[in-house]
Amino acid sequence: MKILLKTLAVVATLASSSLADDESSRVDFQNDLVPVFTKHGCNAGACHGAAIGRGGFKLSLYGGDPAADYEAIVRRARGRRVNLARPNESLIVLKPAEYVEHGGGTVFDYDGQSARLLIDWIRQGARDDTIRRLNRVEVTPVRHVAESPGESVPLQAVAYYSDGSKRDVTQWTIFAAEDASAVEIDSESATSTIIRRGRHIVVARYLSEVVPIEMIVPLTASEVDLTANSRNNFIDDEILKSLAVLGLEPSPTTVDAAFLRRVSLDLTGRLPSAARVKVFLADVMPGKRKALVDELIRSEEFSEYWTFQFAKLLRIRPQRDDGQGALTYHRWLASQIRDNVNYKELARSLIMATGDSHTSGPPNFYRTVAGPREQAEFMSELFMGSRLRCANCHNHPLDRWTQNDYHGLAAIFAKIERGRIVSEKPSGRTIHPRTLEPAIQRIPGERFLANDTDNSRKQLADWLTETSNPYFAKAIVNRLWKRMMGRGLVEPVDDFRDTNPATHPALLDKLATDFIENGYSLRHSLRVIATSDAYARSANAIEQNKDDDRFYAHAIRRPLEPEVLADAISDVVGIADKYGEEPDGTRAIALVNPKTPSRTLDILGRCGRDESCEGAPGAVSGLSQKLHLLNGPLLNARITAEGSRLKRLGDAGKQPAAIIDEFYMVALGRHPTIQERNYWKRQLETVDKKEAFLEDFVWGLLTSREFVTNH
Amino acid sequence: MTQLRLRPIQRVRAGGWTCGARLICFCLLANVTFAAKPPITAVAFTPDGTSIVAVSQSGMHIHVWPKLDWQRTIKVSAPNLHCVAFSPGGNHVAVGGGSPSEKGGVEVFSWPAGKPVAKIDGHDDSVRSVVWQNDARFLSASIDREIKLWDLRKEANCILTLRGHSRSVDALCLLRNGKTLVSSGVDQSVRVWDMESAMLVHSLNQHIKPVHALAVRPAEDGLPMVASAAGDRTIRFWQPTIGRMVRYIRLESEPLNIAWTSDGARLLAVCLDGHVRVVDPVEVTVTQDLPAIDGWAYAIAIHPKGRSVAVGGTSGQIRRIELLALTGTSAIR
Repeated sequence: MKILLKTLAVVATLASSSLADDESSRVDFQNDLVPVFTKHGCNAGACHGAAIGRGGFKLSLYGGDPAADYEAIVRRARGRRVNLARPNESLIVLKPAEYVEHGGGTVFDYDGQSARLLIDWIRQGARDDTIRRLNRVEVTPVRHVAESPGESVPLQAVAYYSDGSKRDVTQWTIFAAEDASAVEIDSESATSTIIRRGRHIVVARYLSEVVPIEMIVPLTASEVDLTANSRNNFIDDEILKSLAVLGLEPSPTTVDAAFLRRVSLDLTGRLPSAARVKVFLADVMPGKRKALVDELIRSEEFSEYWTFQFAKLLRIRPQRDDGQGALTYHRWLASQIRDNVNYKELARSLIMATGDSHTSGPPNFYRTVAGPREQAEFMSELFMGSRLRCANCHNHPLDRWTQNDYHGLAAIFAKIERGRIVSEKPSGRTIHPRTLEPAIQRIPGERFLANDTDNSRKQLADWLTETSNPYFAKAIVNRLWKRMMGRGLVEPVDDFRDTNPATHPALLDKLATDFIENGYSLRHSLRVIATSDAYARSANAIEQNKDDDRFYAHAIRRPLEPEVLADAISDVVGIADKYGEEPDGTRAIALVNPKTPSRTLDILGRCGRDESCEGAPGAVSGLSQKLHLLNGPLLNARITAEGSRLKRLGDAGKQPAAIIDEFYMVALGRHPTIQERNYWKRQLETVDKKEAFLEDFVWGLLTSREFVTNH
Repeated sequence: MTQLRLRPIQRVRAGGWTCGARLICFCLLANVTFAAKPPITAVAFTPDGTSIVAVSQSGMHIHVWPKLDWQRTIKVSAPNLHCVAFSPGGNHVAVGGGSPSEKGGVEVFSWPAGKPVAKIDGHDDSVRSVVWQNDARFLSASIDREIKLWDLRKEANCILTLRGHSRSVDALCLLRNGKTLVSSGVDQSVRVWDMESAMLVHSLNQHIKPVHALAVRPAEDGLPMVASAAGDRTIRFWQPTIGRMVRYIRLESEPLNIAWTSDGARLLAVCLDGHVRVVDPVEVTVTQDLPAIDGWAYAIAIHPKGRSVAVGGTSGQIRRIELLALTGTSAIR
């Protein structure tokens, strides 16, 4: 017995030391192997990470669900993918090494490190318990400003774990340039080379962590000093800061006429009248631009135009021929905008809405899309600027959203009866496709809600609109910014995520903070933007900023929206367009039903609001639309119609030069330049039929780039 | 550290070492030298009910029933074994498996001698299921999507191939008439074949995930009934001859294999959570839920003469369950 015990003790000692070695050399499935699959592309969407897998073998997309991956590799197919008796004969090794036929070809060498890791893991028992949890990944650099193209930048990733340990995981980190033509990545050496000037994003992915890396090469070779440039508010501080880094000289402030037209279109969706142009140009007071902005923001036209903008955002339209609900909804929205109700209250009203959708506006929010899942997508894109829809089928590969988040949010909306009367439906549920069980209500990215909670929508609204919410304020100020500046700080505006960083993150933060501090007032934020120097910059690029398309060195020319363009045409020609059975004089932006019969809007490419309008192309973007605009009856018939502006001016005996001047004023918001005046004078001297000539002139004016864009 | 050392003790279920000291010694060595045990993928009682055959990547092992002591190992050449079945007369045992993605086949041994009788490598991937039609003929279903009928008496062996499944064929069962075959697999279908004409009679598509297992109800009366267990967590009951699904039940955990009690009164399902669930096929309710093993349970066999059940699964575990009463409690050994 003593011999037996001594033997046991020796064996135990040996085993103990061996175990210590085993722990240090142990291959951890989650931390060691999932990155191998990601690095080799095994779990990419084009391979086994596809929604239905490939070749009968499914991995979670980019390793988003290690537990499911472990199950697929070790447990599924009766464990045939790992051979615990003969680890080096395991299918999970032989296939990617192409020792047996593999549809994906040779992924790694049988003698290489990846195969060795896999075999060691199987030899150690193919365990799923992880030694440590990944806390975070630090990537260096997260921002690099190079002097010139061609500079190579070594990249490094270090993982930090829950047990306090850290290790270099550069080898197993995927570095991918968003624009492969701008930045080259050598995955072997983990080095990036910036090929083109500008600001570029490289995304580093290790396990579930994604880190954006900002790579900058100034757009011009010369240094710029912008310290003396004028600044009206914090917007200018941030914009000039980035222009200095990028070596971009800003264009000068635009002239009064251009500013007037731009700000009128941006705040009211209307061209300034000829009378207003004259008054504004004649005004010599230094604060006239700010006064103009205040006047426009207080106007009824502002309320009408921003009701239109939010109607598009909320996708207000008649549902299944139920025009009453849409009308009630639209009227409610108009009153909210007119009364300057803060955006937080507006959002809360919508999220917590119940009642008769024919007599109360907010309940129609729950009649906008088909069901709870679509409502979750709609709500998250609208109020969070985040696309949860990827997480319907799998954890979001480039963001934090999981299937639990998506279906948990849908579960909240499943408890709503969405007929004409919108009410609570406690029995409502939605099925989680992975568990095949009813999804548990969840505040996305935050917490599950108790099954028996009866105020889940209130909890959602509270979380969404609390000042610390990272999405709500930023999502709306980014939309306002885009509406005013032509491009969102985050683009697309409904795709906020770590891997799609803002061009000016600090500015976005400040805009959001300012919005919250000023009572979630839409008018306030619009005023702040409209009164910045950046907003007032000329749309004419100069040599030093001609390559800029996103840093606001010059104003961005934008096509007028179809409805705004339609109204502008009507205003210039002096003949209102006809929209279905709507009363004469109805403006396009005031239509409750976006599908009201209108050939003009069909040609100009309106958005029907069945889906988000934010991805819709601007007006006159297609070739066929351009041809219709140039040659079709859209313009010609109305230019010469009885009662048109041209007819009226002619009948009043106005001279052609004066007529030309007036059309310049109403269409372009300015007088003709000396050169233009001289040009038209020479033309008029050579033509016999002045009336026909003026018709052609008006037609030419309305199809000009200067007219169909805001600039 | 202590837990790490002890864990393999729990996994070594079928080693047959009952002495505590020897067990500890074995486990310590296991930690240092050996990998975890492969999962038991199939079990079958020997015709006389005195032993049980268990197959896994470590081979085909025979254990004494009911003690589960290891008795002997029969050498099988395939590295992956997935199924085992005794011939109706009990003179042969067939083991199916293969080399993943390379070839699959069936090895037939005499019983009880365990001498090799035939080795068939007619599939392009592993064999997942084998059923005997009579003492000379058996059918094999493979990941290569094919079902083959083999005859031990003929030199060419394969006398029929059934094609139709679009993915791996994972389960087979033959009705008592010996002419109607039911198959199922990863393509989520349950298919009914007429063996005489080699024609597909019905393709039943109610399952929405791969169908792992099939079992014919042993009752004599009425239309034949087959149960199918699938990844959608349902067990569906079919009358295959008329292509009708009679009823179904959704379990709390995914069933991986099933077996009927000898009187056909209950269906037993081994599940992904290691439990055995006893299902009343008429009321479609779970009458008992028995934790059996730690991990996934892949294999189940019901003793030919009683209410004893053998369950196999993750880490080489084999457990014995005594069904004391169908409506009462049961004991797990």
